[in-house]
Amino acid sequence: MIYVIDALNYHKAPTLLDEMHKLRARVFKDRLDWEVTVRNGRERDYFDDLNPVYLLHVDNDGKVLATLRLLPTTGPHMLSDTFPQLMDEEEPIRAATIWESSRFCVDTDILVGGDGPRGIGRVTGELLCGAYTFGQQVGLTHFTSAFDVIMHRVLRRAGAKPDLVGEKKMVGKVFALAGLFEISPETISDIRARCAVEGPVLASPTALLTAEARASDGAIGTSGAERALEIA
Amino acid sequence: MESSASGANTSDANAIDVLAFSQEADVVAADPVAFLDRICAVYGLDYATYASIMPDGQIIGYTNYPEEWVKYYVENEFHTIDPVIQTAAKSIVPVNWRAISDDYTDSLVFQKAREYGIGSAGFSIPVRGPYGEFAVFSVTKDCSDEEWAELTTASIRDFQSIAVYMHDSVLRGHGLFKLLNKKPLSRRETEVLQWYARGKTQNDISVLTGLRPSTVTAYLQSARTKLNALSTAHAAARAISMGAILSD
Repeated sequence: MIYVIDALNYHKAPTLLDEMHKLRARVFKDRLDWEVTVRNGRERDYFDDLNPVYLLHVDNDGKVLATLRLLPTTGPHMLSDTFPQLMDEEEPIRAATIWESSRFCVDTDILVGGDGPRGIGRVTGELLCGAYTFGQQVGLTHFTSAFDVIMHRVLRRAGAKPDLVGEKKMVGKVFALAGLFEISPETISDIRARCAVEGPVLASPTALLTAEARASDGAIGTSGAERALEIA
Repeated sequence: MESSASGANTSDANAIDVLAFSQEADVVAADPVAFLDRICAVYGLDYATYASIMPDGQIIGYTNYPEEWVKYYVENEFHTIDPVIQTAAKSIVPVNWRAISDDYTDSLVFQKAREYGIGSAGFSIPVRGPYGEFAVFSVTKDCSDEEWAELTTASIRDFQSIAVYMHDSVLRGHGLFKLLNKKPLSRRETEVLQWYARGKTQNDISVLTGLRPSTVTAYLQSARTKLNALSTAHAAARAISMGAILSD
C-alpha cells in the first residue's frame, strides 16, 4: 500500500521515514553513485527541510519498497534550484496545481522482475498510481520531474508518458531530462492496466500507525539499536 | 475559450472564468473582501478567508466572516491557537477541517466558531511564499459532509489556483514587497501566451507548437502564475502591457 506522509504526520512515522532515507542512500549513492549527501547511511538534502509530502510503498512486514517526494513548483524545488539547466536556464514551470516529484526510487535488491506482487513493474506502477491519485485529491493538474534516460524508459513503460520540456543535458554522470506529467483518470487507468495494479492503492491515514509499528518491529535488532543511540 | 486540464468538468472551467471576468486587474489589492464575496457567490460557499503570516510575525488577513466572529477571534487572539493556521504552517497539503477535527477535538476555536454560526465543513489551502512567509486560504459552508465532499472535489483545483493568486496579489500590494522580482516567462510560455493573445484555442496552439494539449495548459497555468493573473485573458493583457508579448 502507498502511504502519504506529510509534515503533520512525520512524527507518526519516524521509522518509515528513516527507512526511506536509507533506501535513498542505497539507490542514489551505493547503486547509482550520484552526487548526493549521505550521512550515517541516510540520504537527505535541503529539500527534505521544506516539509515535502512523501509517498512510501510499504509491504505487510513494514518494509519500504519504493518512495518519491513531492513539492509545489510555486516554492523552491529541484528544477528551479538544482537543475535549472534542464529547462533551458529559464524560469521553470510554476503553478499552484503543478507539483514536482523527486527522489523516485525502488528497492531492486528485494524486488523481483515482472508484474507479480513483488515485481519491480507492479511496485513502480502502484507508487505512480498512488502519486496520481493523491494529486487528483489535492487538485493537481500535472507533475514535473527531472529524470535520466533509464528512468524515462521505466516511466513510459509504466504508462506515465511524460511530455519532455527543455533539453537533455549532462547532470553529474547522467543525461537528464525534465518532463511534465498530466494527471488524469485516463493516465491512472493506463498505468493500472500496464502494471497490473488492482484495487485502491492509497492507505487510509489511520493505517499509518500500523505500518509504522511493523517497520519499527522490523528495525529493532538491526538499525533500531543504532537509531536509539542516535536519538539518545 | 480556454479549457482546464482534462479531467475537470465544464463547470470548473466556467467558475474560475466567471470569477476572473468579474474582476478588474488588481482589485484583490483594492478590495480583497469584495473578491472573497465574489468567490463565495461563484462557488456556493458561506465564507472565505485569506491570512498570511510574514516572517516577522505580522499577520495580514481578509475575510467575509460575520463581524461579531472576527471581533471575538481578534480579541481572544485565536490566531495563536487556531488549528487551521497551525496545520497550514506545517503542511503543504490542503486540509479538510473534518480530517483535523479529531486531532483538535478540544479546539476552542472550532467550538466558538460554531456558536457564531460558522459551519463545521471547511477546507484550507496552505500557500508557501518566496520570502519564508506562509498563507492560508480557507473556505467554509454550513452543509452536510456529502455536499461538502462534492463541492470541494469539483472545485479544489480552482481553490489551489485562487490561494496562490490571492497570496501573490496581496504580496504585491503590500509595502514590504513592492520590489517583488517579476519572474520572467520562459520561451515556451511566451510562445503559448502569444498564440492565445492572437485568439488561438488550446487545440490550435497544440498543433502550432507541437506540444500536447495538456502541456499547453500547463504553460498557460504557469504564465498566469508568473503574471499573477486569475484568467489567461488577464495574463495576456498583463504580458502585453509589460511588452512581453505583442498585441495584435
